[in-house]
Amino acid sequence: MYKILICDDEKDIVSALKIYLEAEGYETVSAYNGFEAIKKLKETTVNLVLLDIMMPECDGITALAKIRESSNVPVILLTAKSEDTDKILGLNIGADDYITKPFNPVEVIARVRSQLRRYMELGGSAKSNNGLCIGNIELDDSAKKVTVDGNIVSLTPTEFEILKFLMQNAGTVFSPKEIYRNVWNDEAYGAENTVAVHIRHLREKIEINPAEPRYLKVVWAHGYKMEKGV
Amino acid sequence: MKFKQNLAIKIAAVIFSYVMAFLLFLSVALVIVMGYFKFYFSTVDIVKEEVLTEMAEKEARYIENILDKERNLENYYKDKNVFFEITYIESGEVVSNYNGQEYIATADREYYTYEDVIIRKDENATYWDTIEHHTADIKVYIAKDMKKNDLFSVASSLVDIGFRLRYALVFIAIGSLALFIFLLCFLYGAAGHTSNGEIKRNFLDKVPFDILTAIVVFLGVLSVIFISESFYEDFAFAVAITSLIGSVDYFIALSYTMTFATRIKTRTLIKNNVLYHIFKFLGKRLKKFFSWLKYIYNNASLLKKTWIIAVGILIFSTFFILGVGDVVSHWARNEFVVIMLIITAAIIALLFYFAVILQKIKLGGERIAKGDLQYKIDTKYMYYDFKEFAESLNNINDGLQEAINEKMKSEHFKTELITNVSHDIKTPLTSIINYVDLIKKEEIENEKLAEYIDVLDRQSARLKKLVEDLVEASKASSGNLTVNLSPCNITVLLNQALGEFSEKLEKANLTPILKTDDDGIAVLADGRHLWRVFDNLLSNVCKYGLEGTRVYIDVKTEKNGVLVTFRNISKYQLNVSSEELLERFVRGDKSRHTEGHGLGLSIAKSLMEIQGGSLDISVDGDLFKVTVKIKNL
Repeated sequence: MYKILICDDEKDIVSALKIYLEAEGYETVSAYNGFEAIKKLKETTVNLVLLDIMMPECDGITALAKIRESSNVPVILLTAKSEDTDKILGLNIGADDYITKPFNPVEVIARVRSQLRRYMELGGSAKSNNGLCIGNIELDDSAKKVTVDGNIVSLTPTEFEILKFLMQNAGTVFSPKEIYRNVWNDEAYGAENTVAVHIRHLREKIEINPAEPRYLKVVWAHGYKMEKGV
Repeated sequence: MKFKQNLAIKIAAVIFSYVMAFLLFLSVALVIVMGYFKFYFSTVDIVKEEVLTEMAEKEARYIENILDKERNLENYYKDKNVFFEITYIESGEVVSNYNGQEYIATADREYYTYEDVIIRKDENATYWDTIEHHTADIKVYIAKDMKKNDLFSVASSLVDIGFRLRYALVFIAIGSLALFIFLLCFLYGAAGHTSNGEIKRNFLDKVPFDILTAIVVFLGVLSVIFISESFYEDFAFAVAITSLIGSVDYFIALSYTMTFATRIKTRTLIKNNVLYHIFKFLGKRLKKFFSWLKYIYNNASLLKKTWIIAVGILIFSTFFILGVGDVVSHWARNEFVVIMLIITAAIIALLFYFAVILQKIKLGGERIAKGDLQYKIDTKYMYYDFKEFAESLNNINDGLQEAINEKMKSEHFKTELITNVSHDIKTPLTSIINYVDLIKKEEIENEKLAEYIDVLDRQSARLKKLVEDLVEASKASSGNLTVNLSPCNITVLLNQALGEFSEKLEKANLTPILKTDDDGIAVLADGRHLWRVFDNLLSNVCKYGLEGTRVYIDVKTEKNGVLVTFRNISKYQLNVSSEELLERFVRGDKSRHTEGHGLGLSIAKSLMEIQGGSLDISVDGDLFKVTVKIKNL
C-alpha cells in the first residue's frame, strides 16, 4: 500500500485526486500549501508527492527545494503554467515529472503508477537482462515482448522492429528514410508517410500522453528518436 | 508579297527604272529645248526660222573670227547651205557667194578691228589709247532650198520631226515619269526583303550611313567636275561621258536611296552611323563624369560641401574685387579691397557656422530616424530658428519615446493579462473536468442526466482547448515565444504531419496528395512551430474538408522562399472573406455548427510571421487555399 501526498491550494482538486487515487488503491494524505506539505512529509512516510506550483504562503518550487534537502521521494509537479521555463525550472530543482492543468485524471494515475514502479520496484536503477531497457520500457528481443510500467504492450512486428531499432540507437535522431531503410531493409520511395503512421501508433501504445511523448520523441522536420536516459 | 521577295523581278525593275530615267531625262530635255524654241506656241516655219536664225548668227560669229585669218570662205562654204556677204567699209569691196537666192534666215554682224595709238608722250611715260575701226559688215543667209547635206539641213528636218512629235514627247515625259515613280516606289518597298520573307540587311546596309553619304557626295562632286570638264572637249565626247557618268550616278543614287529605305525599315538609319557611336560614347563619358561629380558632392559631408562652396565664393570674390577694383581705383581702391575682403570673410564664417549647426541637426535627425530615442541634439551654441528646430526635433523624440513605452507597456500588459486570466480559468476548469469525469464513472439511471453530462464533458474539453490556444495566440502575436531557426527538411516534416493525421484524414474520407519537386527541400524555420502551423492547417482540413475529396499539398521552391500550399474543398459555404478568416475567433461557418473557436489560423499566421515567413489565405468559391511561405536556407 503506497501513500501519496497531494498538495494543492484548491480543495476541490485535492479531493478529486483523492477519489481517483484511492479508487486505484493508494492511500492519500492532503496538504493545502507548501508548509503543510513539508510538515506532513516529516510526520509520515510518503511514497510519492503530487505538488502544485502556484500556492499561497509557500509555493511548490520552494517546497520542492525544501523536500529535496532531506528526501528523494518522487515528486510530480501540477502546474497551470504551460511555459517551458516553468517545466525546466521544476525539473532542474528536483521534480521527477510534471503534469499541466487542466489534466486528464487517467494521465495522472498513469504517471503516478510509472513513478512509483520506478522508485519502489526498480530501485531507481535500470535492470539489465538480455533485453533492452529505457525508463520503464523493457524490450525482450528473444521473447518478442515489450512491457511498459510492467504491463505487456502488444505491438505489431513492424512496430516492434522500429522500437527495437530506436532503442538500440537511443539518443540518435533518424529520418523516416533511414528508419525505413533499417527496418524494412529496402529503399524508401515515398514511404516516409508509412513510417510516420507506425511511429504514431507506437507512441499511442507506449506513451502515457502521445501528444507529449517522454520516450519516443518527434524531432519535427528531422525525424524521430528514442530518449536515452529517462 | 511575292514580288518583293523575287530577286529577278527586282533586278528587272532596277534596269527598267534606269531606262525610264533615261527616257524621262531625254524627253524632258527635248521638251525644254522645244519650249525654248516656241514649238508649242507657233507654226513650224516660224520655229524653223527661229532655229536657223540662231544658227546663222553663230555662223556670222564664226566668220568674224576667221576673217583676219585669211581663209578661203568660198571654198569653206562650198558644200553648205549658207551664203555670205562681206562688205568692207573703207574700200567698198564686197566678198560674197550670194546671188540673190531665196533664204530662210539671215544674220548681220559688224566687224571691228583695233589699233593702238599714242595720245601723249612726256619724259616719264607714253600714254596709249585703242581706236576701234568699223572694218566690215558680215551678212549670212541660210538657203531656203537646202540642196546640200549639212548641219542646217539636219536641223531643218529635225525641226520638222520635232514639231510632229512635240506633244508625243510631253506624253512620253509624263508616262516615263509615272512609270519611273512607280518603279521607285516598288524598289523602295522591296528594299531589304529577302527571298524567305524577312527583312534583312545586306552588305551595303551595314556600312555606316554617314560614311556612305560622304562617299556618295564625293562621287557626285567628282561626276560634276568630270562632266563640266568634258564640255571643253568635243561635244560628242562630252555627251558620251555625261551619259556614262550619269548612268553610273543613277545606279549609285538608286542604291543609296534603297539602302536608306532598308535602314528606315530595320530602324538602323540613326544607329548605324559612325557619328552616332562617337556621340553615344562621348555622351556616356559625359554622363559618367557628371554623375561622378554629383556622387562626390552628394556623398561629401555637409562641412565638405561648405568647403567647396567657400572656395567657389573665394574665387568669385577675388575676380570681383580685382575686376571692380580696377574700375573704382580712381578714388578708393585700397578701401574697396579691404571692405570687400571683410565682407567675404564674414560670409564664409557665417556659412561655416550654419554648416556646423546643420550638420549637428542632420546627424541628430538621422539617429532619431534610425530609432535612437535616447539621442538629444546639443543646442548649446545654436541661435534663433536653428535652436527652435533642434529643440522641436528633441521634443518629437521625447514624444516618440513615450508613445513606444506606452505601446510596449500595453502590449506586455495584454499578454500578461491573458496569461494570468487563463491561468485562473485553468484551476476551476481542472475541477470541472475531474468531477464531470467522476460523475461519468457513477452509475446513472436517468438517461437525460447521462446526456447532460456528455454535454458538460464535451464543452469543458472545448473550453480547455480554447484556453490553451488563447495563451498560445497571445504569445505568438506578441512575440513572446522563443524561436530557434535552424535548417529543416520540409518534406520530412510534411510526411510526419501526414502520418500524424492519417487516421483523422481517413475518418473524414479525405485523400491527401503531396507534391514536391525534390524530396529534401531545406528551409530555415523552427521545427516545433512549423509543426504547430501544419497541425492547425491539417486539423482545419479534417474539420472543414468536404468528404470524399482530395487535399492537395504542394511544395514549390521560389527565389525568396519555399511555398507550401494546402488546397481543399470546403464542406460549408465560405461566406467570410479571407482577411476575416485570419482574424481571431472567426470561423468559416458563421452558423458555428462545428467545434473549434477560430484561433487556429490566427495562431498559424502569427507563428509563420515570427519565423520570418508568411501565411495567406485565398477563397475561391468552395476552394480553400492556404499558402505558407517559409524562409529559404
